[in-house]
Amino acid sequence: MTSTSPLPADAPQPLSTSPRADSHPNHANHPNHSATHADPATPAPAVRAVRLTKTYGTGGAAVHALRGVDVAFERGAFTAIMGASGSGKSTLLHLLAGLDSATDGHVLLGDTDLSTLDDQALTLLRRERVGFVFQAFNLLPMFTAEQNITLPLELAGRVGRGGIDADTRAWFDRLVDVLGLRDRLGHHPSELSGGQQQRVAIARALLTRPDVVFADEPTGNLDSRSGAEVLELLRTSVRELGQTVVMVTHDAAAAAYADRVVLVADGRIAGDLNRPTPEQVTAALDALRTASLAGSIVGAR
Amino acid sequence: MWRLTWAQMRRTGGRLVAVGIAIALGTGFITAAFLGSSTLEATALATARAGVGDPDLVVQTSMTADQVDELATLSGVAAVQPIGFVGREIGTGQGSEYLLLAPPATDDRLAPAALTSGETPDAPGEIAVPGTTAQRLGVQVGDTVQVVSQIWTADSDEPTREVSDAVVVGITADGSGLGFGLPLGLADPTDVAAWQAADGSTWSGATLVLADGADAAAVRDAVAGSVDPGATLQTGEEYARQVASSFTDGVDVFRSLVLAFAGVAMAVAGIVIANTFTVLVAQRTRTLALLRCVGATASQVRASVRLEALVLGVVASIAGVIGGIALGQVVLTILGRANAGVPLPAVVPVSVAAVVVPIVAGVLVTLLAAGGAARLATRVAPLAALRPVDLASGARRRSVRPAIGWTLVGLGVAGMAGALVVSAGGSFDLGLGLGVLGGIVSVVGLVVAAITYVPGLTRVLGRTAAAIAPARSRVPARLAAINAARNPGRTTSTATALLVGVALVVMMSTGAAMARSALDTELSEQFAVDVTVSGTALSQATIDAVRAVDGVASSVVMDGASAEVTTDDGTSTVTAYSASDIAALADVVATLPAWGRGVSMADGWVLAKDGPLTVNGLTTSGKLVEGLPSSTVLLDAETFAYASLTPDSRTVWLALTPGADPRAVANAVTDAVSDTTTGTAGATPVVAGGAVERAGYGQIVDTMLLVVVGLLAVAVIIALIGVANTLSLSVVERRRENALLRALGLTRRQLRATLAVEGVLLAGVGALVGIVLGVGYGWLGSMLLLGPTVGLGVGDLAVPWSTVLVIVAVAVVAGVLASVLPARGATRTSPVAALATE
Ligand SMILES: Nc1ncnc2c1ncn2[C@@H]1O[C@H](COP(=O)(O)OP(=O)(O)OP(=O)(O)O)[C@@H](O)[C@H]1O
Ligand SMILES: [Mg+2]
Repeated sequence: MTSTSPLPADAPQPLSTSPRADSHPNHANHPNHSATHADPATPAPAVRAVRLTKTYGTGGAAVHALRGVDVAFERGAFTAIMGASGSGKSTLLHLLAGLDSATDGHVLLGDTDLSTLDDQALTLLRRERVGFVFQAFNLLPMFTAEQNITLPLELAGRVGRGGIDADTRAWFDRLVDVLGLRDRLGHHPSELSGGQQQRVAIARALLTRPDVVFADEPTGNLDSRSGAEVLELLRTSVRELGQTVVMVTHDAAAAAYADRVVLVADGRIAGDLNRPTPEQVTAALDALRTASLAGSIVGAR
Repeated sequence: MWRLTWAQMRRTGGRLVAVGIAIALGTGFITAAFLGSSTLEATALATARAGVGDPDLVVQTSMTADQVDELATLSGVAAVQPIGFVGREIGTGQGSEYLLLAPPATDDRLAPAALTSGETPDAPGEIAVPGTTAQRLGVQVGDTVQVVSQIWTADSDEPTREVSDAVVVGITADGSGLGFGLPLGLADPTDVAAWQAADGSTWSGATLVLADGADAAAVRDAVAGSVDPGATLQTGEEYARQVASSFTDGVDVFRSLVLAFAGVAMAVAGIVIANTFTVLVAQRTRTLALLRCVGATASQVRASVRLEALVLGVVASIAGVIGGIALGQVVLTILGRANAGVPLPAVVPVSVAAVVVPIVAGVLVTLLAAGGAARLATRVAPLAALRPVDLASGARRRSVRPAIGWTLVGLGVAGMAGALVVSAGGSFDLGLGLGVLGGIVSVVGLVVAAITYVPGLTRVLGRTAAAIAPARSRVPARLAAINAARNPGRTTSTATALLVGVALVVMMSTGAAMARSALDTELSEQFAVDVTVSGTALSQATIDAVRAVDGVASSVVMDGASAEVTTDDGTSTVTAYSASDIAALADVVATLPAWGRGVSMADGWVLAKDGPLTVNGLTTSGKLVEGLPSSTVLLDAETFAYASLTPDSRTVWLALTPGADPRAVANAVTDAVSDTTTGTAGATPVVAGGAVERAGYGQIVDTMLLVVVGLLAVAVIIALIGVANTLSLSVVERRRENALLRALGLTRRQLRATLAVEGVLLAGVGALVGIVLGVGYGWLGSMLLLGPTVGLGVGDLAVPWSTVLVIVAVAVVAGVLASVLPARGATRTSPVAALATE
């Protein structure tokens, strides 16, 4: 799969997006449309899911959280994942980040197939090549902001007796300044506001210069201003620091910060929007909801 | 409310198991203490019964054989058997042995010893010997043995030896009769009467069996009229109980001692319980707050916690009692198989106290210990439910406890210092009492004030661990150090529980170590000669054999003679030895001073200090040598001859190779002596000396220490369970943190290491403080207890290093083990699953 198109040609068409895509060609997320990105010169994606399937439980109690997802995330891009509650967004993110193992299919982080790694290797991969920002409980309460930020380096044994090396130090200083955490470094999480806590988490996620930063509703607990700050920072890290960020969000306004929005419905990729406005995102989500409603009514009959 | 409590317990059931075990261990201990003492009592009673047979009436007074016979003529009396025995030396070609002998009974119910084979002696010159004696002497039914009587007469200092032959007609069961476990033989009544007459001894009473249908009261009156008015008359049962109680005076002391240790174990269990409940309540803060929000009153919340404690206490205590009884039964069965020679009951005698006391104690301790947590639960504000998950560890409450604790420590230390002064001034008992009181007060103070020093020590230990850890393990070490110091209260009470047990164990070991070294010094002064073998007929074969024993470094053989010596203090009879080889003697007797002509050496009994010493009229200048066998005078060969002394005995003195096990050597020497001594040609040579004595005393100290440490070990085990419990509770609490760390790249191995280090820190702090305190108290205690008698001083501190090392090792291993289960749970949980749970 060299194409960055989220949907391979032989994949079933997402039911939901077709009517809207036709009526609003500008906002369309048609595979053919996004295929303009499928430039052979485009570098290999940072992370990619291939026929990714996740089933919780077995038999009658089985929940199909992901049903064969194929999606790729470009390097240096800010992608948002959206979808209804329970559609499988978090599951997808966890699998992409190597936090959980897939039932079937593959996750490729660069050239590394995560399904071939054991727990030890996955842990080291998370430590070195992946960064996270969660919705809540991002920080360890017993450490200061600075200690929380440098924790992944410490875990890797990269903090020597004289502290971190000069190169990393410079990067740390830059991150701290960009994120405005300079005078908060000595504080414990309980002494920080929610927004500050999220910024510390972002600094930590970026410090190791990971291949991808994953964020699961990073602004979910924040007021709109703090949320905007955090999103702006994530975008800055992509634009200015060249990071790759994949973020799950419920908020159309948040998604509008992203370069691209991937829609998930019922464990499948249900659409893909490029540089959408908040209105376009809302419209696409509405379409999804209507379609699934229609689907369930049809299904009920 | 019950439904709620039950639901809470079910949710936290696993976490209560460990506390349950702690309580069960404590109550099981109490049960075992009761069972042990009642088994001892039952055994004593059974032994006593076996010893007296099954008489209807027992008379206790000094009686002649005629008086005993007279009882038999009273109407209503079917049979009479005298109480007591005569002792005779029984010899064969293989050796000789001192044996207690009694006449056989006319009625089986009064039999002093049961026959296992052969017949009852019923003609003069017939004898029945116990099985083990027969084995040792190599005799069987039909063989002849020599019976040696040593008859002392008023006009001679020396007994006369009379030897007669006897035919063995039967073998008696060991420990089956009047001898209460001593091997008892039977001899013909005529012979026994003759021996008794020769010894001038009497019976100490008689046992009677009444004729069928006889009026017990009437017979009793008749017997009372017939014997000495001061005689005691008892029924058989009364007599057995009286005899048993003479053995069991010690049982009450034993029971009190074991119960005291059980009390320590329960106190430690109490600390563990209190800690666990506090943690559980802290973890349920949100649930409790929610309950308060929907209308539960504070007292309902408190009642719920108390109810939980009650259920736990009852269940665990019952389990402990059952466990204790089962253990007792197992031990009894094993002992019964081992055939200890005493009549053990087949089933443990379970008294009401053995069941009720532990259950009441267990439930009370649990309820009391959970009381603090119950009060804490009522302080949970309904609003706590609405707050986000607590990130801060909670405001620290100022408490007056440390102040009280340090005051107590101050008082206690002052008391102990006073005790040392008073004791040095000569008031031993006052000093000891004051010391014990000061010790207890200061320990209580230290436990109460533990919060002020344990967390700090934990931090220091943790930092040290983090500093010395290699770069890759530094994070686990640091995380562990931080985690261990996060909940000062929790860490403190966990460590305190261990501290108490460890301090007691180390205190006892220090005391024992100091007592041993004091004893050794004392004994080597008292016994300058390691082993002596002496006898009137010490053969060359015996001398050669004992010299060849492994572990004997040097030896000296000397002729001895009974001599009359006169000193400034008076005249006494001593054994004078002819030291023909002074060089060899100096090798054996380390304390021997330089020896000149006309000088005699004497021990402290003979000579209080250096001065003139007249031996058989020959005056020499006497020198006092510490540690010679008592009533010994050493003369050089020339002087010995000059004093016209005639050798009448020989002795061989042995010095042991340094490092040789004195007990083993002494045993080997004893064996060598009995192997080379035959017949009854003379008295068996006597093996004595400092080595045996030293080893004996040392072993007494060691055995007592072993028993005490064994009993205290229960408290230590309970405390270690507490460590595991605290750790697993903390891990549950830190699920999300651990998951986050895992997500950020903490490997499974690092997580395991973190928990292991934390466990070691928790256990290590308790152990270290306990060791320091134990050494201190042990040192002080031995000075107070032994100082006045053996001159133990401040500088005589003997640290029991081996015990200290074992305790440190146990603490480390236990800390690591304590982390195994929590770590399994923590590492198995996937980072996602743990982050998802609220
Ligand atoms: N551990 C689990 N066991 C069973 N089912 C699960 C588990 N985790 C998630 N699921 C199910 O998988 C589906 C997808 O869950 P997921 O958490 O990925 O949804 P989501 O899109 O992140 O929803 P939300 O927006 O509410 O966070 C849901 O139906 C959920 O119930
Ligand atoms: Mg989610």
